[in-house]
Amino acid sequence: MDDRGIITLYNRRDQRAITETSAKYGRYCLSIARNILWNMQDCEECVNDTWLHAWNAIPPAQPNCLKLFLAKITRNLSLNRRKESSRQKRGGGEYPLALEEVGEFIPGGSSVETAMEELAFMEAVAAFLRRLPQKECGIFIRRYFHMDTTAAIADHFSTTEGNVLKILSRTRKKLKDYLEQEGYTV
Amino acid sequence: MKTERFLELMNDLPEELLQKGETPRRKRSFPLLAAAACITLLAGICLFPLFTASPTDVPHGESFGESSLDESSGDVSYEPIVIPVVPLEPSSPQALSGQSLHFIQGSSANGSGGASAPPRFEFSVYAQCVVKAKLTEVLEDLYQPLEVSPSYRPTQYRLLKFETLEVYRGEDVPSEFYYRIPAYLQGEFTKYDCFFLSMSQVGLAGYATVNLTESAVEQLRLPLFEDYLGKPQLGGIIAFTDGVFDESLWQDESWIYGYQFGDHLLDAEDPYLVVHRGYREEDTAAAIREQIADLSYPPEKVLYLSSLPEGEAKALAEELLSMENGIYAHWTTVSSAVFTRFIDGCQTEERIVIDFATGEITPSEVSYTPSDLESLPNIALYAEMLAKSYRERLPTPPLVDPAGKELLSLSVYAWYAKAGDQVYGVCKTTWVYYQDGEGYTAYNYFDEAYLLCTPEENRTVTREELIELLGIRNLLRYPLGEAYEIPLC
Repeated sequence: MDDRGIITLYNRRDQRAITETSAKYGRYCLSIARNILWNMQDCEECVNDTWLHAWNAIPPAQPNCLKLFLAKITRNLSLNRRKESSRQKRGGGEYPLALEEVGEFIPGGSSVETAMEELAFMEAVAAFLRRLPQKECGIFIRRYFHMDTTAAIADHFSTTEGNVLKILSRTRKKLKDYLEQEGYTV
Repeated sequence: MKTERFLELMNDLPEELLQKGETPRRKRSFPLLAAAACITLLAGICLFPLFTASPTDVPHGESFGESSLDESSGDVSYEPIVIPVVPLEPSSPQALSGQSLHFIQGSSANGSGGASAPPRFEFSVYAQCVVKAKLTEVLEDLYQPLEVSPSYRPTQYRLLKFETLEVYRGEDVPSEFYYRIPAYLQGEFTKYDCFFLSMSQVGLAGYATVNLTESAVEQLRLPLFEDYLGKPQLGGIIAFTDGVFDESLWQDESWIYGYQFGDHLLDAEDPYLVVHRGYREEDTAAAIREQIADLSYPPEKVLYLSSLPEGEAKALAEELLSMENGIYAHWTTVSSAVFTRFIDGCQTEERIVIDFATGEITPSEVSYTPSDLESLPNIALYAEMLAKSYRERLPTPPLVDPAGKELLSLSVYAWYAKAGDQVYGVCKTTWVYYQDGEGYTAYNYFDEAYLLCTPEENRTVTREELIELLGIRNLLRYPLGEAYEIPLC
């Protein structure tokens, strides 16, 4: 069933919406959760919670891209679950590695603390990403939004893992330089 | 910023960027994803693109948050500004961090109308309360009503404290009261010995108003009054010094009507005026008594909390005035007090009317429960963000073509509304344009755009969607996008 049909089921409060969503995007959402959480049970719970959140949100939400809509919900739930877990700094998943990598360009000190400062900072990041070639931007997104492994990213973009590592490293360096120009010191 | 927080905030990137991570793999057989940009909000979490970006940051051929001209059709397309979700932090009832109305241009969202004859300048004995009073204090702070109309820039006031010397009309007029006067009226009130006031009650003691100087809600200790017409410059306040009428109060240019009146009419023998050049206090008092004697309807009875007998109505009025369970603005009518609930400076539709004559309580169908208040959209902040964006770059309206028209007014107004058990916030942008017509005609053009907010997301909705969900409250009733002829004199 296409996304429009699935959303129509949500709008009609037809429980088949959940079944169709799960069938179409279950594996996708699970992969996002697994990149963040190391425990399979936690992953499955987050994915199940995603369907409940989607049910409660639609309507009035009418997402143009259902896949991304669900991805954000799963991602949020997984990150929250990770924070609650006492073993958040141990275990598998790409999350700890992603944390270390972004530390290369995240500003230190108190330059980004308030909600408005965070907005301004992320706007600067978005402006930087818009300048990037499509593939480099996509690799960055898959790494730090989806938290895919470098192997999965390589497969996704039909390239080698080494190339992905090189592109990510270069992009982080360029982002760090850009942010410093914008007044954010690392 | 913590690295964990950055990864969380990656959710807030615009959809067009996140889509780049969904680029299909060439080796797989499933169909290509649509490459069209998804402009409207998803899950309420997108960045605010106009906040810091400059045109040089925009890759060629792309735009964010500004209208683009379709060169083939000449149509102007409206791209709504995206607002990220920011949780509303709980605060004390007396804190006022929110402002519901912003005017970026102009001061009225109801159009300019045509020129019209000025209102009549006179001291109105038809007023509910007519007194002679002595000024005892001029409060230094600037005030504004808590309840503001979505269509007009709210008037700012100064407060004068008066001691009543004599009552010519009105029942139970207090010995002390506050009188609010528009801040744009300049004058050295303290130099006069006494005033004659034609006034009407605005609120009970405990009236909640916005202290702009302190940026907080303040409750007034005394009952509040204002000029009967709401415009003292039309003659409703007369000053005396050493027992003689002192026209200097009106001679500042800000008292334009009084200035004109003094210039032309103060020496004329007009039986309907209560003051002329050279009049003494007793002359004016006699003129007032003579005119009041001709009135057939009873005077206003000033309302007090103590006017209510012990019981449910009084207990409720005490609770609402105490603001222990939320901020309620109120105003008084001839016999009742109407309370409206405000959250973070933004109006809700929760209203309670208490009739002081009968003790009857009439609540609105809608009320906001403690559960509702636990998660509310942060619409005062969103209104501020929209206004800030508009000040940096004017938004193009959805329907009206601005070419050849003058932008009279651009404003943002935010309010809360409930539909069923769901609390929504709405941030409305209103445009008013003006255009000369042929001969003695001119036109106004009105347009609106709506941001519907929940704790989880903010999204642009059509007027039809909004009306179906929340009704037509706070929406302009003019036809949008169409020429609306206005008469010119």
